[in-house]
Amino acid sequence: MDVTFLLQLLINGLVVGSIYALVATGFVIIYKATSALNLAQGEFLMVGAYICLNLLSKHQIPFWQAILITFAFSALLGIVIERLILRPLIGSHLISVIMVTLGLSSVLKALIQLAYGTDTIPFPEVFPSAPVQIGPIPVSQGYLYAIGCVTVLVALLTTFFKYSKTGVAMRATASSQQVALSMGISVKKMFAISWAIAAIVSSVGGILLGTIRGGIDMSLSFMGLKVLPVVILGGLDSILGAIVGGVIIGILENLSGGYIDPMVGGGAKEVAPYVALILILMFKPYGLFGKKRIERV
Amino acid sequence: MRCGDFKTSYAADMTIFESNTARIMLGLFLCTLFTLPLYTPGYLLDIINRIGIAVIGAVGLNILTGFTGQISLGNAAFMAIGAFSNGYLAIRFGLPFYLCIPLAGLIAAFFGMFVGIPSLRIKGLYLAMATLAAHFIVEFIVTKWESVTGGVNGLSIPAPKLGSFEINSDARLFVLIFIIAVLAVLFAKNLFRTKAGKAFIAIRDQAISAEVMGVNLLKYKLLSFGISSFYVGVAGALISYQAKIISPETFPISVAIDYLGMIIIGGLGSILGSIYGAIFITLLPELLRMSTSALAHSYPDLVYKLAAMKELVFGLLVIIFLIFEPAGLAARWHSIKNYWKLYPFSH
Amino acid sequence: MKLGKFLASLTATVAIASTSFAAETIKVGGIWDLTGVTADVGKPFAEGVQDAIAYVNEKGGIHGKRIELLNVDYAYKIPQANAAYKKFVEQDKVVMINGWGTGDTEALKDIISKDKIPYFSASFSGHLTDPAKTPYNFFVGASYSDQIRGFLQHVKKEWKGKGAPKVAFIYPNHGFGKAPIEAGRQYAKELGIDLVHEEVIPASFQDVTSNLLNMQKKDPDYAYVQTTVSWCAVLLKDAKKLGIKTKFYLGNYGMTEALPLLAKDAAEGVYGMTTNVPYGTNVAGMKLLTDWNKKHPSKEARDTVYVRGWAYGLTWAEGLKIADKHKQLNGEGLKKALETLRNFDTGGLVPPITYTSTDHRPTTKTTIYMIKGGKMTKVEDVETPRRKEWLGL
Repeated sequence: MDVTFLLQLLINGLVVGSIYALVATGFVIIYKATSALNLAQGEFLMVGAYICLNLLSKHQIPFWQAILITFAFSALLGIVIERLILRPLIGSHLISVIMVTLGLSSVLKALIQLAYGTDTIPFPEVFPSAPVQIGPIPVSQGYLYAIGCVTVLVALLTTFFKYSKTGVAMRATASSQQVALSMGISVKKMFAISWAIAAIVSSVGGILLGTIRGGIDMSLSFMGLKVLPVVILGGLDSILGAIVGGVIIGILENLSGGYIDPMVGGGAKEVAPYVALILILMFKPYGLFGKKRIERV
Repeated sequence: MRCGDFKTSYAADMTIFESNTARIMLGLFLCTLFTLPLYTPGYLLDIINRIGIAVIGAVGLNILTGFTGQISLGNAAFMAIGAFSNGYLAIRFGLPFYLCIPLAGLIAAFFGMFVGIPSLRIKGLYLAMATLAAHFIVEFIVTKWESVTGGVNGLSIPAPKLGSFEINSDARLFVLIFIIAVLAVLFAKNLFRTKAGKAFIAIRDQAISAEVMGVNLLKYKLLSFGISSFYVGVAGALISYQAKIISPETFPISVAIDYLGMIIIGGLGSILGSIYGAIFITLLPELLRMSTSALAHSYPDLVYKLAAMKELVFGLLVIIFLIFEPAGLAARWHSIKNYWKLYPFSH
Repeated sequence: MKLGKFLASLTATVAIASTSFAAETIKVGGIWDLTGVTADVGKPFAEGVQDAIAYVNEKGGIHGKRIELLNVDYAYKIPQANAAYKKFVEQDKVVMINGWGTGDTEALKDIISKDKIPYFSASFSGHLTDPAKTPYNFFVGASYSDQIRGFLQHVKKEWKGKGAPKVAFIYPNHGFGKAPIEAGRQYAKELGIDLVHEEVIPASFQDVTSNLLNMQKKDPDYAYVQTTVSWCAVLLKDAKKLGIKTKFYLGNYGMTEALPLLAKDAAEGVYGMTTNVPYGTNVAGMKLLTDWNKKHPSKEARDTVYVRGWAYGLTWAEGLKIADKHKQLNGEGLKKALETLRNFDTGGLVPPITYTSTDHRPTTKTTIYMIKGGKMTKVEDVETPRRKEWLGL
């Protein structure tokens, strides 16, 4: 077997997977805190990327400032959406919550399309694109930066949840809203913060993808659907699971792209995560790190 | 003029039509409906045909999602199975349409029940994901299984034939589609007067209580998946005749979302609601197109925005209905009707 | 202010609508991809055709009759193209249609022949060139098949290395991607070129690293990519990241002025087949376009696909003129009129166009361009033989 080939697939899987991990983290934060399934996560990613692009190329704002403004905007978007759309639906049937996020994804996609059209818009090159050699394998610098960003972000999130007062309060809300309420935690505020964080984390994914691909378009929103196998694999309520799941799904995709695609003439890479999803649901419905809940269907 | 409800027997409570007036009105409506092809121009008739198909699909989805409480994002996949089965049976074996359509429905029903098996182990949200995964897997198979589905190029479906009589115009297709649609709606309406239908509703409202009362969850959940997918499969088969060309692209995930939108906007757990929703969502892009084409001369850019505007309006409507009128158009209609029924003494 | 503009336009619309009854109009359907996976090239093409027709109308239309071009965006979805076609034929009663993609055009081809509606597709699929099978299908330029043959001919000539040159084809699994592949396979065999690999990529994607790695295992000297420009750009960037040394050649929807903007330095040294000149090339016909754009400034960047749209518009408008002269302004008459075109010249925008009743290959000439310093630079012209057995392939 060709070891270099395998290693290249693995590295690429790791990079793509780390972006999946980011988006999945946002998804899990929302699910944990509010038990809402956010199917518009991919649109958050897309909106973040477009906002950042707009700041960079139209307003010529330096990269780091543009990123900070994008974060602020994403946070605001998350809060507004939570307040206007999700909060009225607290306590209603699951299908309503799923459908409302599907409706939201339609709206966000449509707004981006109305504002920017469907063309691929070039994204400024932030990272140098020349590959660096790691052993025998050329790896794009953009990839290395991406993995670096993801690692830093995850470390930040972990610290936030472990040590900051708000983070602890959010965890308390996640484990029991009633108790959290009685301890004087504003559950509503926690809900809003989780949506804000989820939107910010997704926008990081969007910016990274934009810089790696060199251009952004509507197809970015498809990342939202890719994230579902990731969270099912990792466990819906585990951030660690989202990260491990993201990397595994990224690698799985690339391996099936490398080894199965040539046999079936393409397409296996796209469908592999969903086959994995079905298998996980059959054998380990709560995923690798998810909390088992005794619940009758 | 009727006022108030006073029922003295279960039969009266269960009846579909509350009065002879309702029966006569429905009869008149059906008569008018079937005269439509006589004076409706072709393109409008094509839209009406698509509405008829959407009604069948939406009623089917509502049986599963609205009445039994099982969320499915896989209905576009079942529709594809129905359509391609129909095409394969018609082309490869030359079966007549009156065999093809029910067989296509049965094949879709079989797949639907297969996908429904996990619903016994996993709860709603996982089921949504399992059916979503089923969608992508079916899409993959349909694209790859070229000998049956024609692959990316799709299939050209021959016009259905009754002896030497070809159902090749929109008007003839209209009759075929609407006969099936009327039967489908009547069957669904009656379904919820039977034991099975009541079991579905019991499962939706409280699965554990239903089981305690002796409802066999396995049996009835699978039955619901089966009936629902049969409907959706039949709708798929009719799409193949209406469109004449089907390809994997005919059934993307957005079709599944559109159908969910229909039953949400129309009314979850309401047969009438499914009909309103189907009409509304099918007409939406046409209405937008008509309203913009009048302005196309001075705003040539509008044609670029149409797809996005449809998406925007659809998304906004779904959100607005979920927040402000979760019971959909059916409930809205009901309350309007009640208001006028008791006018001027309504409260 | 906004409302005022709206009302003004509304009254203008009414005015136009009422006057358009006075002058006779010729209705033509336009089925474009403005928002789908090929919208990157679909939009400039549609704008090109629209501008060309606006120009023709300004110059007096078809002997005084205005061409009314009806526009529909079908988002590269076969069912939507199907619905748009139905509407155009049954409701609007159009004389002809200018369509877009390969998948939808090939799906519609039987109905087109039955309805006798001349159908210009922006798809250059070789399957549409045999009038015995598809009498009403037309396009303007060398077919995808002739482009890939031109590429192979060029490779054969250029190859200086040892043994046979190794070639790979990269294409998505849809009608457009697959259209030239069979022709390419056959001609490669005939020329003694070693086709070492075929890589099927998705229609839209975030990265194609694993596909490129698959291809790299076979180490081809040349790769031919049959997809549209945005996806070519992502692919080329990935190839650069992996340090792939293969020389890339793109089809006529991959090589456009947008490529270096999207792929940046990854586009340098990439070749492509083009069926018409880039925007601004110094040919006689280009003045029309540049003058038009000076008079009607647009914020859109004009590119070679926009020029292609003009060539289409000018070609079928010419057909309409001939048909009108013979007082046969209908589907059949237009088909006959088009089949009288011999070396019809669009002022050098495309090579001269010829249709006959037995051969709808407009030309077999393509030009190879390469990206040099972020600009499309001409390399050489290639002409493939016009063989009878290649009709419809």
